[in-house]
Amino acid sequence: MKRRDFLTKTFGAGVLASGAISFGNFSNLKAAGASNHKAAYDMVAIRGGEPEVMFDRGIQSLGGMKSFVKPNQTVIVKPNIGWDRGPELAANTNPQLIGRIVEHCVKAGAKKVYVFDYTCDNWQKCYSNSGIEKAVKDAGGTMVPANTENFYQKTSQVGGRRLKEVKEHELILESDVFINVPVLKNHGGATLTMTMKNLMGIVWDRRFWHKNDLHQCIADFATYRKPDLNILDAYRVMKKNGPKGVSVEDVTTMKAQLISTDMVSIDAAGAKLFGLDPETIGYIKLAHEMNAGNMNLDELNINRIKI
Amino acid sequence: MRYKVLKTFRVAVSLIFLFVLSFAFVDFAETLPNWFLGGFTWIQFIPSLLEFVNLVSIASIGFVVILLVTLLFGRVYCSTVCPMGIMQDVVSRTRTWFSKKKRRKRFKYSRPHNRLRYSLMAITALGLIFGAVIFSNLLDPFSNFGKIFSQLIRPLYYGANNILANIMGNFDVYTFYHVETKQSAWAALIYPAAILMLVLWLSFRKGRLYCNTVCPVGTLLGLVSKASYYKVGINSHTCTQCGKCAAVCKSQCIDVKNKKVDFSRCVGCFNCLNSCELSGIDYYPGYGKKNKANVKPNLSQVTVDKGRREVLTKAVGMVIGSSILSAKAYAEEVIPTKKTTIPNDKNFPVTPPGSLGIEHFNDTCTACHLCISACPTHVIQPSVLEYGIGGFMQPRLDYHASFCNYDCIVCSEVCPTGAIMSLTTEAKKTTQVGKVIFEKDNCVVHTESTSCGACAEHCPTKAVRMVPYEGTLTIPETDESICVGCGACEYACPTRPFRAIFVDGNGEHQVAKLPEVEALEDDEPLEEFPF
Repeated sequence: MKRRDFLTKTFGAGVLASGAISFGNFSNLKAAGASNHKAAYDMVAIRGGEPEVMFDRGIQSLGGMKSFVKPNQTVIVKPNIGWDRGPELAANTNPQLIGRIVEHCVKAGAKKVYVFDYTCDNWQKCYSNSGIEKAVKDAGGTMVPANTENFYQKTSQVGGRRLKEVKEHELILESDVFINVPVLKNHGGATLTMTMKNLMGIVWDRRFWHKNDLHQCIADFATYRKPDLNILDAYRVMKKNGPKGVSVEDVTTMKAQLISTDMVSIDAAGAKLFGLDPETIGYIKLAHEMNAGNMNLDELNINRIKI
Repeated sequence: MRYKVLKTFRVAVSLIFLFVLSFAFVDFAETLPNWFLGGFTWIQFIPSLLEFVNLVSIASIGFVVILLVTLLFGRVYCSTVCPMGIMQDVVSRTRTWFSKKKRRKRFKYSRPHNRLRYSLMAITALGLIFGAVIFSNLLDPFSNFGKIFSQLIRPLYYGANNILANIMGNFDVYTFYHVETKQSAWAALIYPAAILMLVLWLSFRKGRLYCNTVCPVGTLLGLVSKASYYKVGINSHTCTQCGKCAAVCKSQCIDVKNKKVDFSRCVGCFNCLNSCELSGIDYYPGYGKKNKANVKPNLSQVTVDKGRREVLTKAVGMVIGSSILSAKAYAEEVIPTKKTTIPNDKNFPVTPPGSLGIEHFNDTCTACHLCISACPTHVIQPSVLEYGIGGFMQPRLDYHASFCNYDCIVCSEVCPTGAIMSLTTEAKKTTQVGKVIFEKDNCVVHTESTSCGACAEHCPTKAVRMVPYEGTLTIPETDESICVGCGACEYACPTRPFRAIFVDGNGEHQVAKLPEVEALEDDEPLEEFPF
């Protein structure tokens, strides 16, 4: 091969390859795996403080954010931002809490912290009126839109009983760490919405879930996509008219927070905080049956912190 | 060239109007404040006239201003304020790109099509008098400009934006985001496409022939301008009948042969004034009676080369084709489960909040589609014949595309005709545009015995709420007295082909009750940590 030919060809191949990397879909090669953290506790439960303070104390007892986020990693923080409602209505995750989590990630050396939700109401209004957009920007995170199909990529790895494949937000597939931060609240269809239900905000085709046994689909997805960390915000809790709520009269101030890597445990504990028996909530039972996690709180090593 | 400043002024104003209005019809980010945009729509003749008649408000006297200005200066409206007119000037200008001949040889005098233009004006006027707004809807230049930009150009703008968002997304920049028109009715593109082709063709070939033949506003202002104080006329003493003025006259209303200007067709572009070095054509008070002279015109024929025609056809084809493609792109996802059996029997389409009801809306809306472009959730979509022939192309709320945001009043702020009257956010929250209907036999809770609750989840007032059903299941229950008809339930309902819950429009809008607010019963567990 002549030198000139060689140069032209290698250059061409390089251009092609870099083009393919920038435009192609190689994200599946780098699937965000479940975490292997051996934490001191299975779950941390905190009560009585402001959202940020409770999180500071809670994450500290798990070895700090650095046990979950390594320097230069990309992180997804996924709150519930489903509704065009202010923070006092508790339809969305507490903005102060989200801000503080992003701060911790940045401090732990995260290269990039993305925050998004596939909202039900108009997404710009949800992002701004929830207070989350501002909190995230102030803390050094990036808000990402998620309400159009172009962001979603098909995965047929779900392997559930009803749910076989979904279209999942590409950043979930591309990022290193996935932190799930829902708010605890009443839900007309699913009884309660907590960590497992919150994952409906990372998939495109959620109408399918509603059509094909909601509880089973939630449990199915929980066996496939396991966040590296779950934080359940129960500072303000919408006790009725959920998940969107009508007025502040639906909301009680509970000042609680749960942190765990196990969604099933955290949802079971969340149900108890709410005043319900986890056994009565379809998806918790199903997810436990399918080994997505442990709903038997007696078997867990729980760190209870009172502030 | 004493008149250079007039033309410069005309071009400057017209470009501002064209830019602002075309942007308003394609923008999705509420970039322009509505009060600012209102300044540009306030002065559009037919919308302003309709708003005046409807609201009997001094605030909507834009059309009076236009009439007065026309009485003073002639039809300058057509060359400065009317976006359809300015768009034609732009198109007409592009003709020079394809022509080997010089620009000043573009036009020659032609006779007016009086019978056609006066009949179209009369039909529109009679329609307005007798409450049939359909002729204004079909002929009003502002509304047709709106239809073209909202239905045909907006999808292109969205497409370009989405490509940009993709590229920036690759660089981890999320300032730009994808946006969809959610338009699904192909048939709604036919009329805007037809008007666009007509306007492009006529303006490309014949300058302002559309404005002087089809446009009822042009014809009316033409009649008024016959009595204008300032007029363009030929000075028979200095005119040498060289024909330079007629060659630049887009209205083709300068008859050099007879040294006459048909001022009723003059759109006040002032191009002719600058073409004459001898002040043979002039613009000053009281012109009108002219001397006749009989000298042969010195005009050269303008020929059309075939390439030009082809380029034009292709360009129009591309615009329409891409709009159709984007209309198709919004197809509903197919959900492969048992099909529902009971059709959604709706009596009325849903008109936008603030429009009072179908009668007021149908009588006042000229289908300019500004609300469609401005709607942040894209729930407002063009109708085709949902309202019948009389409401052709008028907007409706399409709950298969999206739903109406509980706190949003944007459409009522932008409407230039008063078809959607202004609403406060508080009033909006009790404006009932339709009522919810629950069809239990289509509902998955009933047919499949599985949980759902998508409808109740989205309901802003809890007019749809989940109540205990069999076992641990909950099923929707509706209370139409607090329903605002926003359509969130219908949008969210997963059953196909028929939904288990839907909104039937209110022929006349009603006032919904505010949802009752009950204090919480304290049912929290007593322990700090109940586990």
